[in-house]
Amino acid sequence: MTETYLNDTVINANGTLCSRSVSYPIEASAIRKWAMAVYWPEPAPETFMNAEYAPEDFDAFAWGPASYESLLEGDDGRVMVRHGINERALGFPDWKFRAGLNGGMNCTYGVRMHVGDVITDVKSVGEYTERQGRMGLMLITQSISTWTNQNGELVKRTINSGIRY
Amino acid sequence: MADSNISEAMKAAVGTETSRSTSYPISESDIRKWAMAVYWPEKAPAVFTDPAAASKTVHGRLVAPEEFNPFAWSAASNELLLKGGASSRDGNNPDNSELALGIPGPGLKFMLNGGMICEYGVRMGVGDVITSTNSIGEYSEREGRLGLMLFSRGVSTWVNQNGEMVKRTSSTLIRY
Amino acid sequence: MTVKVGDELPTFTRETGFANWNRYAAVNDEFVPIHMDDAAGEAAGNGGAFGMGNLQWAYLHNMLRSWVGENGEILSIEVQFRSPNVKGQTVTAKGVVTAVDGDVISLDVWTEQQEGTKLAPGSAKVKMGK
Repeated sequence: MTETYLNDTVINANGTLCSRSVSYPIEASAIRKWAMAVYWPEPAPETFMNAEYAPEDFDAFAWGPASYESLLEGDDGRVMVRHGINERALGFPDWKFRAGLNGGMNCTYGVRMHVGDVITDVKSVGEYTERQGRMGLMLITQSISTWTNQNGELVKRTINSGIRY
Repeated sequence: MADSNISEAMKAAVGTETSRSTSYPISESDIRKWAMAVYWPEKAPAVFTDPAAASKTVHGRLVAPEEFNPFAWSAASNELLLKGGASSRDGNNPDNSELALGIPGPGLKFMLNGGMICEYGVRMGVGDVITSTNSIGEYSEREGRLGLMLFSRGVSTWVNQNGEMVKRTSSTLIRY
Repeated sequence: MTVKVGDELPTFTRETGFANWNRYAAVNDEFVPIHMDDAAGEAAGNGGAFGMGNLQWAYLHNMLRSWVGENGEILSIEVQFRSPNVKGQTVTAKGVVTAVDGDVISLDVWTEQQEGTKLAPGSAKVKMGK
């Protein structure tokens, strides 16, 4: 039975910058369709149909970024890593889990996204912790995603939590 | 069981222009995502995703795949051309073409895309605004695999902001 | 390249299922129960959910576009949807030249599943790029 997932490498990785993605410029059409999907079947608010600005939850990286690079040594970035955290390149143990769950998100917003904005997303390692649960020892992961616009203003900072066991 | 689902009102409506829609300006992301979807899981050609690559083609700009639909999701304006014509909020209502005519539909439950004939003119590209004029084509019916099947045609003509013909499509709707 | 009657076009092949259909639904706003839900497809007499005719149409365009080249043109195309594209099928778009009239080339085009059953047969006219 696993006694701990947390070795020094995992603990010390907290704060490491892992990847940088840059979005295509945000277009009115993308804002409109996003709003229609999340308000469906009711009509989306005029503000969004007129693309005055994007809904907070708008994903400027849906369907892929304009560019992606890994910031980790030993990762050529040719394969885009889901959630942007390449645990292998970070030297984390080759854990074997039965299941992984989305544990939740915690998001702090800055300025709004508008048509023409180009968003940069830098992903970094957050805190990894563990806890005894009904299913045995669970690993609780955090990845942090920081979005800024072309003026360097903070758009949002999201902490994504994952649970694996 | 009905002998025929084609009413006199439906027969009389053949050839009528029912609606006109104008698209939002076509944007790069519309074209890029369309191409990604229809080429998935392979990469879409750069001419649809990369404006720099597209500018070197004969078109000189990012153009859309021929079958691209600038009316997906919504239009900048939709206009019903007939008094009494109504638009359904449910795009999947099999009677939508008769609703637009302001006449009762046959009320059949299922519908299928029976096929399309399409003639192309100039290409669509970024910034283009497309106007579609839609009319009702012929009705016919026959016994098929799924019972008495109603065939109807919808004809739409697309022009761009310069009045150039983009395409003319005749689609067959099968209802049963 | 000299084109002659009987020439076969390079094909365009995709394994089809929700991964393709959902992407197409997203760009074309084509969220129709028969394409999303097995029970709705079954109720419509097709054994389960099935793919959009419009996506078969797109695959035929992809094949033609690649063949005529960047400067070529698809002039017209006509297709009938004969048989549903059900989950797990490998769909191949094919074409064969039926006539050459100056620079206008006529073709039979169709999509077929892995056993050769035609799903969407039709015809097209194109101009090759210079």
